[in-house]
Amino acid sequence: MLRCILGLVVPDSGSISILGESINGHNIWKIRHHLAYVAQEPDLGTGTVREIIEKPFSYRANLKLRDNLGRLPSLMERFNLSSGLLDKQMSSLSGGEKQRIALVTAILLDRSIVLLDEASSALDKENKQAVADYFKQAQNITVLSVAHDVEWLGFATRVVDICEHNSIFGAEK
Amino acid sequence: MKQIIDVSLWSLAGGYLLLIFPLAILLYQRVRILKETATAVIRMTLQLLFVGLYLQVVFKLNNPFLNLAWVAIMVIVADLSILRGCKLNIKRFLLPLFIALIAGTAIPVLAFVGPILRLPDWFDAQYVIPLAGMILGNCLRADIIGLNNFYQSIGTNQKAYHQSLAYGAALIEALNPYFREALRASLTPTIASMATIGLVALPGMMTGVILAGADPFTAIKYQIAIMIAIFSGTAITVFLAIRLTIHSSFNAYGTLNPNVLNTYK
Repeated sequence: MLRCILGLVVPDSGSISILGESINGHNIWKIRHHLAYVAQEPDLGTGTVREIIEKPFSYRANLKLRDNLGRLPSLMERFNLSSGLLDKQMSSLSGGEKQRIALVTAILLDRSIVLLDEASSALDKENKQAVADYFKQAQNITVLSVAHDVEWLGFATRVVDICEHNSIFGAEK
Repeated sequence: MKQIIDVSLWSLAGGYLLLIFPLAILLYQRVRILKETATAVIRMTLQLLFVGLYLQVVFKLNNPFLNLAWVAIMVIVADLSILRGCKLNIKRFLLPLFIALIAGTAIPVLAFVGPILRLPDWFDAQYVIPLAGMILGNCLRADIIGLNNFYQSIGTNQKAYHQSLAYGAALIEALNPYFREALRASLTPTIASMATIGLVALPGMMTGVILAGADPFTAIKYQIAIMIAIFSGTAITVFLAIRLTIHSSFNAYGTLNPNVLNTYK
């Protein structure tokens, strides 16, 4: 579902509206500038962690966000990532570390909508709490998270249960 | 300098006797490639006989238009063999590849026959056909490596590629790392052969010019010029082959059309 919102999978039927616009091949490129996405098992490419975090900021659409990289050290600390990781190869990181690096990059991009696909799956209790705390205090961010993790769901303001029969149950908390 | 000695057909037939050695080794070691070997030898003989006869006519007439037509036929054959050689479903790439091959061949050939050789007649069969053939052959190899590398690495690194799109990359920004890798992979063989040329083996063109009776120094001048022509031709053709096929290979959302990689899934 999150990949449909990003326009990476085109739905067979129906339409998706984001920020008042029904997405199509034309406006998706602009809409993506409002979205951040953290995959379940993030594959961020090859290179050192620092190169990978900095890469999205070399894209023309994100150039004006380069100063956000100044917040990198404090965010790394917040998510229990040592600054020594920055010079390591991405491939040498554990699943949980990769997930938190992807989260840090997503946060630095200052998007208004953050899409998390099982983003807590490789995190231990402490880090899960750290991530949840961050998003709770963050202003003007909508987090759309797909999760099976009951503990993680506890952090949500609204849980939508998508059943096998495609019926949807929503619960305002 | 001496003129090259012609090989009589009977002696050439005798030359086939040299095949006794590889055939004996293959039989002795039970390497099961006898059928492939036989087919390859027969195909080589027939194809070269045909080309030899045809080229005799082309050379005798030496009509610039006929010479260019022959080059165009070579380009079409190259185009079709890239489509077969790439493990990609790229029938729709026929025209973009044709343009990429024409540009990669024509630009260096024109530089060669024009400013370098200063031929009175630019499209003289003796020069334009072998030069175009050598450059085109290299363009063909480079395009196969470049296209395979580009599309297959996007296929295998789909998650990382999608992540760059999700980070807000424009199509070309997301494709650039793969584009760079494909250029590197396709140009590396030519760079490596430039670096070792003359040390490890005497290159084909130089050998040909020497056998034809020319001074070795003339031969190396030709060889240097052809190496540079090949390198620039391969760079032009691979760049265009990828650039011109991108448009039809990705949908409006920037994801790779799954039927481009017909060997995958």
